[in-house]
Amino acid sequence: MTSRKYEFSWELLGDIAKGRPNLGPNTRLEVYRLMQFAFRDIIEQHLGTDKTDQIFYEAGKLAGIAFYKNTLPIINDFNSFLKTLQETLISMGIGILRVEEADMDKGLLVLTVSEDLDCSGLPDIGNEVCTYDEGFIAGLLESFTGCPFRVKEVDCWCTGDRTCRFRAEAIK
Amino acid sequence: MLSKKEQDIVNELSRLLLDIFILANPPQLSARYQSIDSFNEIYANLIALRDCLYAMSNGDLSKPIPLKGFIGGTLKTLQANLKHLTWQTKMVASGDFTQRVEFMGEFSQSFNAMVTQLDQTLKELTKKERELNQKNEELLKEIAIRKEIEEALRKSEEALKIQAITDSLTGLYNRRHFHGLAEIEIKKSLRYVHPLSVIMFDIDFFKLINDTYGHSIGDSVLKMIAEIMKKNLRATDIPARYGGEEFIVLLPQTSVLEAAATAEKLRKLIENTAIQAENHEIKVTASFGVSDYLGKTDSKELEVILSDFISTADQTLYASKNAGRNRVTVYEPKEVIKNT
Repeated sequence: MTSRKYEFSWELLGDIAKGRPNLGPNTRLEVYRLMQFAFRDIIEQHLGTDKTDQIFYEAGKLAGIAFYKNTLPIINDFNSFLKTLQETLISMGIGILRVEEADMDKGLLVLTVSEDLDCSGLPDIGNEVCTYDEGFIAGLLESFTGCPFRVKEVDCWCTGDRTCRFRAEAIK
Repeated sequence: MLSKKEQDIVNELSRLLLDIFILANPPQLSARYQSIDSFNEIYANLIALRDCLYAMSNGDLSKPIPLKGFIGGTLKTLQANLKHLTWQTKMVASGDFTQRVEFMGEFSQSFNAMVTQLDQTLKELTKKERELNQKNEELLKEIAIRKEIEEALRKSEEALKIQAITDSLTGLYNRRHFHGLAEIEIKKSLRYVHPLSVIMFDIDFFKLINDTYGHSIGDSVLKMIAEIMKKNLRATDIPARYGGEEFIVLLPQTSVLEAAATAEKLRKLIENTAIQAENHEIKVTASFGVSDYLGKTDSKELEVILSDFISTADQTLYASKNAGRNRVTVYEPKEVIKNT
């Protein structure tokens, strides 16, 4: 690809206060889901399921890295980082992050996200759908630790579970 | 309406399901139902659920919940909450008192109250510890100051003690202290019948030195003589400045001849030591008297014995003066003789 039209930058999110003086930064969650699942549908039709999942994972990772860089303060302590992340995710209405295990010596984390944007309340479709969130978490962890992570959703609302559980492992 | 046979089958299956819920050891699936996949699945799920619930009830949160759907999802949420609670408790244990639980009803309130209380108590304890450390530090400082004062007092006392017994110009014992030491030595000498000698000497023409060169040079002469005495007498000898230009040495366990030899040595050293005065050197001499004569001591007070003893040395000193100065004279009872 020689030239790009949609290369991401944080500035592309625009000046929301200026642009939406009356409606503000919030919108109905259905709109977010409408866009995501519409994208999924069309991309899957064009590229197949695996490629779609890969695209959503990579997009999530790109977003996670940008989110870390632009919204989180500089923190050195891992537990403080998790706590700040929890608070930020709640304050922005993204989800309720909880930590089940965090062994940074082994590079292993098990996290759950409840009331998330992507899938909480969706019908049971028999497979995990939070590939964007997988990438998002991987981007956050990589940004904080400087080490790449592989994140896999092991339980999802869409597989009949009541919370989304992610297992993150450092790639050594 | 179900037939009797159908009712029996339903009853049998109900009994089986209830037993899975109730019995400690679950019943086996009878052979005739094992071929039915859906029933096998229900049976397997219930057995797995039992195992999982049993593990959770014993605090083991690591067992994967094998079910999907509402019951499986609800149990996973409970498991996730308990695991997160475990992690939060670990965080609290590591000192993070900002942890709060919001997802477990009354338990959340109790947990949060406990963490808040713990935080407050620890802060109070830390504050008290800090205050105690501060007080301890202040106390240590106070002790150090007191020790310094004690040391200064001790040194001051020591200095006063030394000042009380020494002559400030020469550093030799003063007359009063010499008398005290001399009385002790006389007692020892009388008790153990040991010889005891005394040398007394006086600088010749000292008034002339003071008048000619000033008191500062006079003081230098006195100090020079004191140094000669300190360097050349034995540790057991007791030298002192007795008066203005008069010095005395008590020599325990020393015969008069040995004392005379010591006096002679001192005399020569004094005679041969020059003092720098303005543009030229000056030399001084001294006249010595030596005695070991304690006289009749039977009924005498110690003070009188000492006075008489020193008097014999003094007499011989003046004999030296009269004989031309710069010499040593040894006391002999009844008469003063033997100039050297």
